[in-house]
Amino acid sequence: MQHQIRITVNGEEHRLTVPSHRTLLEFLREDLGLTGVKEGCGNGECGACTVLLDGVPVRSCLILALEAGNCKVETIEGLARGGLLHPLQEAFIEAGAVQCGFCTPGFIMAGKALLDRSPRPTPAQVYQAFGGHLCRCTGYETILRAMELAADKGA
Amino acid sequence: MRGTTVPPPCVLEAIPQSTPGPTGLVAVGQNVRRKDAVDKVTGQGQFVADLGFPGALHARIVRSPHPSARIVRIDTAAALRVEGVRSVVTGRQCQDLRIGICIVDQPPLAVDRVRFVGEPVAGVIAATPEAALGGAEALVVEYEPLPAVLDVEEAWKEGAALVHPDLGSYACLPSFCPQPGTNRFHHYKLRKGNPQVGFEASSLVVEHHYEVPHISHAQLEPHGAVARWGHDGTLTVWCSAQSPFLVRSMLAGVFCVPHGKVRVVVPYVGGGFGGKSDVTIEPLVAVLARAVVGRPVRLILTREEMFYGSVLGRGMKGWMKTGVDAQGYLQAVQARLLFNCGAYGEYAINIVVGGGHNCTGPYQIPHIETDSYAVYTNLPFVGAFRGYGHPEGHWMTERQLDLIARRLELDPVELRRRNLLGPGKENALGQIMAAHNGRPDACLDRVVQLLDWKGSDARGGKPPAALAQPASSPAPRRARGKGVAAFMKSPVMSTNAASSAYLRFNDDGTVTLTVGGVDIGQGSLTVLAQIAAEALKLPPEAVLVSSATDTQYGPHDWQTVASRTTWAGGNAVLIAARNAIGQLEAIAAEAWGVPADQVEYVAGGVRRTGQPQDFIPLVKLVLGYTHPDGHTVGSPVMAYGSFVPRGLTYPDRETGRGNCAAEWTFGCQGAEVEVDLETGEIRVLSMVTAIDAGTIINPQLARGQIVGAMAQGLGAVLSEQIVYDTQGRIRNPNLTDYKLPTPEDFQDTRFEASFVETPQPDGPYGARPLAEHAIVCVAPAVANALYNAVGVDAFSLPLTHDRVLAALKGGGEIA
Amino acid sequence: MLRPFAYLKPASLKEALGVLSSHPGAVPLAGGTDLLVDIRSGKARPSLVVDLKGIPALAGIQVEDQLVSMGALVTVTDVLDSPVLDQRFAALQDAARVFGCQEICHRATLGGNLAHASPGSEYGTALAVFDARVELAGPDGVRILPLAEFLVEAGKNALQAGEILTRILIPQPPQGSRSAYRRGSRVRGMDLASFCCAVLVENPREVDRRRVRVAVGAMNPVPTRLAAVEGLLSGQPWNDELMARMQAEISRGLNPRAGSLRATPAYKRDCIGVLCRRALEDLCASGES
Repeated sequence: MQHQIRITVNGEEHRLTVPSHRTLLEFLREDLGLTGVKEGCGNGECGACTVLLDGVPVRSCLILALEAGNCKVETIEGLARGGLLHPLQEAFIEAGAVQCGFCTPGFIMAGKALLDRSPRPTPAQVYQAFGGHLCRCTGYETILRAMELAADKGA
Repeated sequence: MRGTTVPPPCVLEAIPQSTPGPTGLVAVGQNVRRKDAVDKVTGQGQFVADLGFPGALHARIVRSPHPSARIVRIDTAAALRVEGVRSVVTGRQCQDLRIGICIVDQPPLAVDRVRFVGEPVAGVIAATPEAALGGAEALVVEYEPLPAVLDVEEAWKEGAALVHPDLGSYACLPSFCPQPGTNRFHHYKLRKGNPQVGFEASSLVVEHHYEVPHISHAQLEPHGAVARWGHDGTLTVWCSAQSPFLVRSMLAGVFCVPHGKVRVVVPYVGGGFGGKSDVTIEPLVAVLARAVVGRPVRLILTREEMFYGSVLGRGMKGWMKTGVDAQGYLQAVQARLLFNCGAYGEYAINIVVGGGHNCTGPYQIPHIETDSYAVYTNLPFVGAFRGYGHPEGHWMTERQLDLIARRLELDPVELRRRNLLGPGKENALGQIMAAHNGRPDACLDRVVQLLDWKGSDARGGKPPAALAQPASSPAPRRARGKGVAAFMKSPVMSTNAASSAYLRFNDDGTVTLTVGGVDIGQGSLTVLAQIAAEALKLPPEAVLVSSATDTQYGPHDWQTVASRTTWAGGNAVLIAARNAIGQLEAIAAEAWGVPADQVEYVAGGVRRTGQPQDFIPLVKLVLGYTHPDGHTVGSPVMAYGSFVPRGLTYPDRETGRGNCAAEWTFGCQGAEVEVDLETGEIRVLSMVTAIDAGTIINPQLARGQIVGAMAQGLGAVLSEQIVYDTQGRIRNPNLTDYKLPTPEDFQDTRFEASFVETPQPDGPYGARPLAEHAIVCVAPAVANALYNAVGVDAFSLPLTHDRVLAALKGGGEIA
Repeated sequence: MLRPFAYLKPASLKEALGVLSSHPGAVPLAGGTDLLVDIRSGKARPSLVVDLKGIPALAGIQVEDQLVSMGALVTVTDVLDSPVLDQRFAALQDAARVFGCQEICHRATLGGNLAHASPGSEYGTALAVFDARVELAGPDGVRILPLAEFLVEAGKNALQAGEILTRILIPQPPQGSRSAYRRGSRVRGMDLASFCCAVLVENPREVDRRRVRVAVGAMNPVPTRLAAVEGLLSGQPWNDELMARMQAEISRGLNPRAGSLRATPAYKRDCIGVLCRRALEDLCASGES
């Protein structure tokens, strides 16, 4: 069954027809080509597919594209503009928080949502924001450091 | 709010030269930013699942629900009727194909018989993933269950049900010794001295059984591959692999295609840890794609399939007997390691060798007898996992040493210090260690410092009964303890494991570096660029890298494994850089009309020796030098470098000895834990590593490897294990119940990485491998700390809350 | 990839009930954090997914004189951020802090969590100490059930074909009462509760009038109130001796399932009392500060 949806992604409005069972993750990756949104588990367990839905971080693998109709979606592709990185992206580089990079977009989107809400987040808030994000490479140390750096930079 | 601009590609002359550090090195030793970082933080970097393939078909694998069964019948009719299904491939269509180099034992799709739950039985190819799933569910397979053997000790015994009744007919390399009529497909023996003599000289002998469960690499990126056969007989495979050239070689062999007609392309890889080394799903996808020549066929494993359909890690039951004299000098070790390799052997067979020859740890021991067995079971098969056999052996040795220290009433640090290898001492393989092999003693000292280890820490080990009183305060509810463990690791690799590199000068004097090794997250592209920059006296920003590895354009590399890319790949880069310098000097010499020995490559160009005013900048040399009248000498500068370690030999079949290791990396680890006496929860307060990795090329990346390895090791100590039911099915093939550590699990953990830098003479700028090592002794360090805290002795993993609490309340052992 | 199904998003409860009762293969969709997982695995194979999020009546937290009413679509984040839930409802917010992860909390609903009827359901356990009831709407009208009757067994609720869980009704706890929720888990970040407990204490500062309510999750097939423990702890001074007795007796009558991947029955029995005691201790500590 196909449905029309209207959705704004990274500031661009799209009107597309999608099947009911298409997840937001599949819609972003396959229909819009936004492959920065990663699928690590498909079950909401890893955090790699995190995007912002009306400013709020969600697992795009656990949402139907149709459920995001008339919403604003932000993905990792929307952060850097015209060759300018978002301060959190810079902080990830500076802190050495990137290794294989597969979890990185999910962490950055969750971190960005937190910094938007709380520019100087407490450690508890950071752990809350990253509690469901898995990284197999870093041991998280550098990712937490990146959040501190970004807060210092005034992300 | 926006940050600064992404640096534009540089023009060489605009870049100021860096100032050399105290070592005289400019690029080496610096925290150069990762070459792939912007790609990865912006989402523009592509992993295999991100690549677009117009007209691609989708594959779904039908897997065995039985651990051991005969395939009675496969009926594809209903599957083929599903709308969108293009083809169904079964083992019958590829029954002559076998995968393997060391031991050729695996069909890409099961033929007549399945050997583990999850074994591929058929592949459905369809226009959409939905149709492929529909086809897979419609496929009818009838099985007749056969006896299965799941436990490695059972499987090892004579008379066990055979996983491979035809073992005797399998081709294998001459250094391996399969035992037909058993499940032992290799037996590695290490023989040194005479253990009987050693035990007679011992005043104390300690022996114990140990166990390590199967674990999952759980790379965040699921393994995937896309394969396309051309109508001209070419095969192209895009995949998430650590070993593109090995994949090419294997595919060429399996399909009897010239190597040059097989192309393997590896984009960014989302974590490897050994699980994407060797060759895993690529032959399977290629077999499927052969049914639809001309069309790309795409298979991205689901998370569940990452447990069944790729490789697992570790899985060992072992026994070790250690003899020591009254002064605390090790006299003899006897060990038996049974590796639970699962249903196929290609991937684990060398782990069994490496685990065997290094299981006695970084100590001088005169008498050693080790038997390390590769054992088939009806479980998913095992492959390389960071550490490659070393964590299994060190789990035994480093626990044994603490048991000995306790019995001798000796500080565990002191016991280790007395026995550590060092210059002039002989290792288990009979090699005499040289000064340049590194300083395990210095690593031990660093850990003592980092842990603030005191003589009083040597005791501890309060009896559990005294601690685990019901919670009537003021009885303590928590207890702390510290533990140490020392390691050594050598790369376990093919004796001709090569690496190579291309350096191509661009018009503006920058360089593009192309290597055959894969950056799987460890940062090798950046490190190799730093080595090139150092050798060419260029700023690191002037060395660009090719991020994808492509066997069609890139130079050969054996595999990205064994922590060898900085060392071997770096050597290849150095050779290429020297070659490039030679070309540049030759062009300049010709331009000046002087012999080549009268010119000298310097930062930014070439000058005439003794004539500093005669200088030709790189931009005027890299495409050849053009005289004012237009005539040109020389030609574009492109250089190649390749490296193969010299003098490596296969282990002797009877003694297991030989020149099996190109180099050694020594180190020491320590942990401080706090145990919740009421719940058994272990919190790791400190986890420290000191490692002699030679010259550190990039401290930030090096620390990233050390801390990452410790964190991964802690997962395996505290919460990770594959749980099977009695039918060989994995009960937790998902991240819901396969518990990886989360950020909060390290909330209280202080990670420390400390580098001792004894230069490696044959390493680039003195570098030595370091990426796997900090996982090797995490388990024994934590277990030793656990005993120190609460008197619980752990002999198997993981140390989950319930197992710790049960030991606190009962026998004091985690058996 | 999900198996195909049709999708409807009705704008009213009436419309939703009509659709659900006329389509045998229809399932309601709230936050989707359980349902989509089940569809992907094949455990659920609906022909029609009825998205309830277009129904305004199912949203929001309302405080009335005697009752706090929570729409079934109230999310875990709504609970955490709600300005109308005071200290008495701390258990609901404790549960929110350890529930899945923030991305899940933004979507997962209380109604969905209860309807999923997991033995270790965070809200099945936390709401039990509030004597919560659930409101179910169906083709034949509305009925209200105590939570304990709604949660029938592991994975099974009392919803009949065509019925929707519409509201959770919480009687106002007495003024000054306090509550807490604690769980045991294998890792400290995102995890399902291996076992959990909720406590609610009325009149915490007056020993004689102190009444304690205790519920545990993942110790039985459904979350369970522990009347004997409540009797033991109510009206008594809390000292080490009483706590030791509570810990010794709490797991009597509890029958955790063997074979759980999350914890052994013996471990759950050993630790549930510890968890409960720590919840009470934390309440004491915070009450005195």
